[in-house]
Order: sequence, then structure tokens, then C-alpha cells
Amino acid sequence: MSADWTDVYRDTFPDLVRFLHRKVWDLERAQDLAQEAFVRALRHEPKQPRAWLFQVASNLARDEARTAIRRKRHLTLLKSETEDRQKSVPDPARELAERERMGQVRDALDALSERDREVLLLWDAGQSYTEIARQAKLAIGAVGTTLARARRRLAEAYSNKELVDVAH
Amino acid sequence: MSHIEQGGLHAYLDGALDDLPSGGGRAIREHLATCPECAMRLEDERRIREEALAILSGPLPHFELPPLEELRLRAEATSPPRASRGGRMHRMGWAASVILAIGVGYALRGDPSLPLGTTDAVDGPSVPGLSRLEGRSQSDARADRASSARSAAAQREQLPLNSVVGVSAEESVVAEVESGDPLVAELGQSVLLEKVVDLDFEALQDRLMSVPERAPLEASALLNLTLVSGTTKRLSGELSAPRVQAVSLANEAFANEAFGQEREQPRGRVGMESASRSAAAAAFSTDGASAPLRERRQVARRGGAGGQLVVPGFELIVLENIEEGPAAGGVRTLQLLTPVDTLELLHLPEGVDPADLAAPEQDGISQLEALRGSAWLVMRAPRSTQELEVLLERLDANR
Repeated sequence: MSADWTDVYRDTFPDLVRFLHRKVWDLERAQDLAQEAFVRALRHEPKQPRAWLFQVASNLARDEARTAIRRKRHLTLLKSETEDRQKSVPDPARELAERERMGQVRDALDALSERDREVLLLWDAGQSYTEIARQAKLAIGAVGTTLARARRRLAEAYSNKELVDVAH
Repeated sequence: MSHIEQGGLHAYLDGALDDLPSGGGRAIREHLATCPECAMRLEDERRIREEALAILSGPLPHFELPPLEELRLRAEATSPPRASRGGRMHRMGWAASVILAIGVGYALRGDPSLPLGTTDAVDGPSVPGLSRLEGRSQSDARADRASSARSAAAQREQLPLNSVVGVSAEESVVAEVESGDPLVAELGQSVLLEKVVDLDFEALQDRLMSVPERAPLEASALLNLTLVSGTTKRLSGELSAPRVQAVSLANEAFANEAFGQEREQPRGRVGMESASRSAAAAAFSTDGASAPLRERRQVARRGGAGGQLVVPGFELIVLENIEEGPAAGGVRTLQLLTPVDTLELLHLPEGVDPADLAAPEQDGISQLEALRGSAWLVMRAPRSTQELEVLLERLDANR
């Protein structure tokens, strides 16, 4: 079992963080949640660890979002303060551009319905159609349709946002 | 074959045709090879797909992979102990448990008009906090109920643990455990579900909705279901099944005792949120370490036995026969006073004295003992006995 978990961990953890990061938009929290998902997985030893981990991660992120709403404002303030104080950014311009881009991606994703977003992020994190169907409670045949719609809307929302930003 | 839908084109681009059922993938491949129109549409979709990929492809900031061993230690540290061979549980920290207790002894009191068959205790207005009742008349309290009914839904959403569903006699209940193993609880069985990470709630609710509303009460069963995780929050307030009756929350020690030692090994568990931990700790007084009572008072009540089992207005989370110990033959209920504080009522059988009971496990619990007819009612909550008396009045007012 140990060897298996080492592989699962190495292969899945980064995907999980990536997936979670686009849900909570905070790298540290994404890592925390990914770790928590793994701790639970190690305890429960599910038969299909990868699918299980994504399911748990998704639930954790959802709960996180719920509690985060309450403290969001406060945290955002705190975080930007500490970042400003602590970080010695090697390339501030690049950092800023990347942060802006992240904001655009986030806004574009927010324009999707919850299910479309979930399906898109699961695909982006490397889940198969079968796994996505299971987690999103869709028929397998509907995964492609959902992805088609989600991708189109994402592209539209992203380019609209870019236009708006340029206009300003 | 007619032209390929967008979804099929994306499945093709994603290399997922083999995932599609019943040869759908092969049909798409064959059609694409012969249909120029679909081939053109494919290029459009490819472009959109690539745009989306590019948008999502931003680099993730660098992060370190923590050592797996560290996580393993955490998993072990938080892993609850297993049942010993004899089926008795070790003393333990609180672990989250989900109990499906089907067929809780509703009929024990032999009075079909008892309020537990209704959804009143569950769906009735919830009163925000006991302190609001202190020093006020019952009519004031009732007026409060009316006003609190308006905000009941909002309050319910804040409850950290919650939610119940009922099933008819014909139905089994399927809960999806670990997003993999379906666990089917047949009627008459009591199953301790642990390790529930994701309950397939939609499927469950679909089933509930298909239960005939007017199924005979005797044929109904209770499904007591408590998820002590964030999942539960999602469920609360969303259930409107006509048979919603009670929620049950238990620790393993309780479950072992309540449901016998022969049941299968638990399927798993979830971590319990701290908020529910104290509720649970207040809820179950099993043998072992017991805490001194904060206050204790005895009162004699007018009237005979057979009053209400629960205090109206507070969510009922446990209703069960007491099967073991000195109070065996009695009935125990547990209600939420606040999201974290519980009120325990022990309806003792005749001839059993409250002094025979083990003290509660938790500190700060008061006990009010009321002789009703020839049987004792014991009330326990982390409140003063004076406040408990207010609750007792409320219980008896609805007789």
C-alpha cells in the first residue's frame, strides 16, 4: 500500500492543488485543503484514490467557500497587508501582470454556472470523462456537451473582460 | 448518422470517445471521416477548446510538496480507535458518525397521538436561545415562537449539524459512501455509517420524494441521519420530505450499545467539526468518566404520565428507546437548543429513580428531575435548572 500511495501522492497532489486553487484562489489554502483531502484519504484508504480525492477536495472547497464568505473581507485586507510587508518581489511588474491575469481568469470562471465550472476544472485537472461524470452526477454523454458550453462561455467571458479592461 | 453534436466534437478533441457508452465514439469517428461540414465545425470547436486551455493554463505559483510521511502521521493522529474484539469501544475522542437508525421505537409509548409522528419538533419554529425564554411567561414564549418562525429558515441554515430524511416501508435507503461504495440500509436494520464523505443527497431525496405521502404511519420508518461535516450544512434547510422526523447523532460507543455488538464493523468515519463535538459530548452520557452536575433539582409535576416527549420548538435530533443500563425501557430524546447545546430528556420507566443514572460525561450540565405521575423525567442541558424549569413548563403546556 505504501508504494501505491507514494505514486498517488506524487501524481495527484499537484493536480489537486491546481484544482483547488481555482476554487479558493489562495495557494496556501489550496495546499491546506489538498493536504486535508490526503489525510482523509490515508485514513480511509479508498479504492479509487484519485476520484475520491477530487470528490473530497471539491466538498472541502465548497465548505471553505461558505465560511470564507464571512471572513473574506477581513482576510483579504490582512493578506494584502502582510504580502506588502513581507514579500520582496523579484519582478514586481511581472508579478502584477500575473495577478491581473489571475483576476481575469477568476472573473471568467465566475461567469460560468457552478456545474459548468466544476466540470471544466475537473477536466483541467486531468480527470477523465468517466470520473467527471461520476463526480458531477452527469451522464457520460453530457460531459462533452457541458465542456463545450463551459469552454465557449469561458472564452467569451475572458475576452469581454479583456475588452473592458483595455477600455479602462 | 446525423451531424455530430458539440459535445461529441469535444469528446473527440479530448480523446474521450472511448469513454462514451454503446459505440457512440466509433460512430463519431466514422461520421467525421465522411462529413466535411462536421469536420469544419470540429475546427471551430478546436479553436474554442484551445482558447479555453490557454486561459486556464496560467502557471500555478510554486509550492512545495509536503512529505507524505507528515500527512500519514496526521492521518494516524486523527484516526479514531477501532472497536475491540468484544465490541466495546475504547474511551475515545469524539469522532463523527452517521447513524442510520431505522425503525426507532416510535410506538414505545403506545400512544399514536404523540407528537413525534408529526414533523412539528423538527420543522416547527426554532427558538434562538434559551436565554430568551428566561423570566418570561409562556404566552410571551409562544409569541416569540410566532416571530421566530419567520426567521427559522435563516437560523436553520446556520446549524452546524442537521437534517433528516424519512423513508417508507417499501423503500431502502441508499447512501453513497466514499463516493464509491453504495451502502444499502434495509428496513429494520440499523447501520452505523461512518467515513461518509459525500452523501448522494440528490439520489436520496429523489427516492424520498417518490415515497407516497400518505403511506401508513406504521409502515414508515425513521432514517436518522446526521452528517457531522460541512456536507450537512448543505443539506439543512433543503429537505422538505413529508416524512422528515428526526436526526440522530452518536458516537461509536453509543452506537455499539444501542445497536448491539453484532453489527458489522463500521465502514468509516468523518472528522467531526468542533461545533458539533460539544453537542455530541453533551448528548451522550455513557458509562465511564462522569462529570459533576452543575445543578440538580427535583420538582413534582401535576398530572399523570404520557405527556409530550419533546419540548416543542427545538429541533429533535435523537429519539430512541433506552435499551441498556438502569433506565432500560425508557425513552431518550435529544434536541438542539442552539447549534452546539443540546437538551436531553430521559423518560424513565416506572420504578426507576433518577439517582440510579450515571451522571453526564460533560461538565456544566444541569439536571432537572420531574416526577410525572409515577415516572420520572430527567432533563439535562448546559443551562441552569431554572432555565430547565422553563423548558419543562413548555413541555407540559403542550400536553
